[in-house]
Amino acid sequence: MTGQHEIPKKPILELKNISAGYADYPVLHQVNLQIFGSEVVCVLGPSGCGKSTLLKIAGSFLAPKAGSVVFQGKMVTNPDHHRLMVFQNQNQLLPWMTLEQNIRFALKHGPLKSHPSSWRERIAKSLQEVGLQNAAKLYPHQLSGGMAQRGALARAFGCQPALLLMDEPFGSVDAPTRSELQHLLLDLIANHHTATLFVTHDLEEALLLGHRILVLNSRGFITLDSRSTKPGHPSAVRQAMEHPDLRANRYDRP
Amino acid sequence: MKKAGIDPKILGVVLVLLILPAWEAIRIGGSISPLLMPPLVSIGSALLQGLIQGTLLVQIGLSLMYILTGAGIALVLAFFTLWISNLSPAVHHAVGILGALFHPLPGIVLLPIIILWAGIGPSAVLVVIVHSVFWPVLTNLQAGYRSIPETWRMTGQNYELAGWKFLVFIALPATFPYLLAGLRIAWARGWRALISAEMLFGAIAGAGGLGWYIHSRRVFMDSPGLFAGILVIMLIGSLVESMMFSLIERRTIQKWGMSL
Repeated sequence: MTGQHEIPKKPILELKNISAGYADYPVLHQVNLQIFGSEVVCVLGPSGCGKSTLLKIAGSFLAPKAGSVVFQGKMVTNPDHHRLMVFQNQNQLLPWMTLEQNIRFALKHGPLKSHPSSWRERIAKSLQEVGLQNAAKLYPHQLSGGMAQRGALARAFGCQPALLLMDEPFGSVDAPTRSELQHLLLDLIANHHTATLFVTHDLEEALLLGHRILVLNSRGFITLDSRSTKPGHPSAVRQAMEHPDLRANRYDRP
Repeated sequence: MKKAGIDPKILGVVLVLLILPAWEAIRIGGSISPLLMPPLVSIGSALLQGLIQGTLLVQIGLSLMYILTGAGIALVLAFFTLWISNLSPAVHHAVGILGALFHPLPGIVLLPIIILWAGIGPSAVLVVIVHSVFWPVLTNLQAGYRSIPETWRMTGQNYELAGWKFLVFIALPATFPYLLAGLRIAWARGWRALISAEMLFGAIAGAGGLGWYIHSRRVFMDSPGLFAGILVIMLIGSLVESMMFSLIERRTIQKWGMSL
């Protein structure tokens, strides 16, 4: 792990005055967010607060009602393979292809379209990184929940995206597996320096993974300055738990 | 008490072994005319002769060619319709309404109109098959397309698959279980419609096929040949049903863990 590394001055992704939702049920209201290269931003919030909507807008899967998305200095409106989504759903690998074929599929249609000679090496490397080198020929339905999420990480990091969008990726596995996957993700991010927008409702997960932690509520973001604390340290967890805004956000919502 | 597991294969053999002597017993016991119930031996020899001399083989080939051609045309039309019905909700609903109207219509009732429009002969048989295959395949394709999980759609979008690329690389494999289910229904309907149409057109124009074969056996009062034809239709129907489709399922959706 790299520990405290330099965070570039120019944002890689910028959400400007984003509003989304329906006329009588606004989900996001004039939300602003900047993500800088190689930083991990965790967004916390109870379910229904618009975290997933925020991710879909950041990936251009959903057009905001108002506001704009700027990625690497350009306005974007369509999804691309530089901003890859990792879902909570363990069904996200395409079931009609083996794990290896899933990664090849991503490389072939994504970043290595014109370099078929490098696919094999890249596939081997990304499987190695997540410890699934022996599962290359297995179909997704033959993988356990934790393995499926490792496979999804291998496919995403294999493409070396500029930004990862993660929607509670470890939300549907048991606690020991979740902890394993969290540490795997820390290693992967440290090695690849991938900027990450990580949505979760698990405060401890956010404290473990995030360089910056934001809480999304109806008023927009509340920032928890995690850099003044030590991420992962129990006192930091306690301190954040006691944060009045977060408490209000967690317990007082209708 | 625990139920004894019966192997369906053994059961099948036992069933056939029971039917065959029963047939002979009824035939001899009731001294029924061989024109109504021909002896098994003559049915068997008619079957063998038809296969060896090739008359039956030619008609089998013709019937299979009809149904494959018709199914091929229907499949292309169904994919094309799926594609245009995705262009706008209005087209989608229009196709849905047409499907609701035409899907329940047996192909054979269209025959009188088809004779007027397409004449008699192979093209009329093809129209009947296309009708029988097109609607069940289309309704299943549409149901399958609607049920593609959002994560797969977004994964496709993430790797910049749009238009025909999305259809080929995501939508087609994702809807494959539905396509297979549609094809099973289409086969059952198409095969029946084909034999009926062949019998009818065979009578008028000698269009050929297994239906025509049976029809011509009737004309010559060749009862053993008649039963031989029925046996072949039964065998081909169940071979495709239980062997071809099951084999495809094992090699694809079962292997992928995608069975419906």
